[in-house]
Amino acid sequence: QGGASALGNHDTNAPVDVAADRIEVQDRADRAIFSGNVLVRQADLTLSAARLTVAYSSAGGIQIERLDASGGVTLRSPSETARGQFAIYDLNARIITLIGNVTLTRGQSNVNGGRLVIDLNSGRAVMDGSAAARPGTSTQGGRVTGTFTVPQRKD
Amino acid sequence: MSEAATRERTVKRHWAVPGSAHDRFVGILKIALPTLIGMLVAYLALAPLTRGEEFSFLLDKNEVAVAEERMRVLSAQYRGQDSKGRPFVIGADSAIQATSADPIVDINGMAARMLLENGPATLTASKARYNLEEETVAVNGPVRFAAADGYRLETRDVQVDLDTRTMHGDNGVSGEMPLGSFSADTMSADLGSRTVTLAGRARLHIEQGAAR
Repeated sequence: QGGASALGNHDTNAPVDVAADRIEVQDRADRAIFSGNVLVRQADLTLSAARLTVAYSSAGGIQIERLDASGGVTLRSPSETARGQFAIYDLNARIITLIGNVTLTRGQSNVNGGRLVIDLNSGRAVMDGSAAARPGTSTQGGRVTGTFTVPQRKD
Repeated sequence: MSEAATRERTVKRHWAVPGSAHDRFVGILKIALPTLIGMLVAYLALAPLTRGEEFSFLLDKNEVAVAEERMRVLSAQYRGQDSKGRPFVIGADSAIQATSADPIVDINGMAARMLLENGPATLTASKARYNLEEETVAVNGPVRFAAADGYRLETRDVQVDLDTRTMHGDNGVSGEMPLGSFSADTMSADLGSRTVTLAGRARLHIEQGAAR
């Protein structure tokens, strides 16, 4: 089982289903705000959070640009589960970023850190310690810790 | 006196001789005329009482043709203004108002046209009940709101308040909006600012269209 996530070449154009307690769609601002145990499902990626904002463009048909989830986010894919305080799913750049004491669990092993970036093209998940999401600034003392279990060698 | 004068005078005298034709004639008249007058007076006095058939009729309310509904109008139009003074017109294929006491009009084939910030919009429904006083429309069945620039909102069984240009549905709503198809327990939409708020088990299915 390769290191890559099952989210490799995830189809960001697939339909998105969102369930929530409350949805407010502001068509003029091309924005929809979801609140109250939000559950987002796209193909085999699911994201659950307390609040979610969807920014989309409606020029030539609906096109979701970006999802911002907050209030304790859980991202599930067939190969792993990641938790954090905030998640930004940029459909154009095809990158999911989780911030705020992120834990990534894959099989038996899990990794903790400040920020997790999952590249939906290659499926690579990069965890680093800096919690700040803005590139170019680095905070001190961000640590990445992880526990890995190695399958028994049967020889 | 001349002979002519005397002759004339004798003729006149013959006329006036008692028992002459003229004298008898006058005697007859003396009796006939008063009796004629008496008879006439008697007739006039007694005539109305002796008349036999009475020409009058009694209007029987049950037999008069009563229309079942107060006012049936074909292709009616109701005009009004919203709170900001913008006009709206409700066209209807047929509109029935049961009684003038209650201001509810049952409309079949409703097409309301209203003016919003960015141009006209139409609201079409097959069956609706328009409250004349509150200027609200209660739609049962599907309703479609379409704005000039292509904005569509389709749902069913909602109340539309034409005064504030808002649409409410509160026992289960579902429908289509540009972002996708939705369903929820309650919905309230502000047609002017185009915000749709769904509450209670709200679901939204977004189909992405444009190629990325």
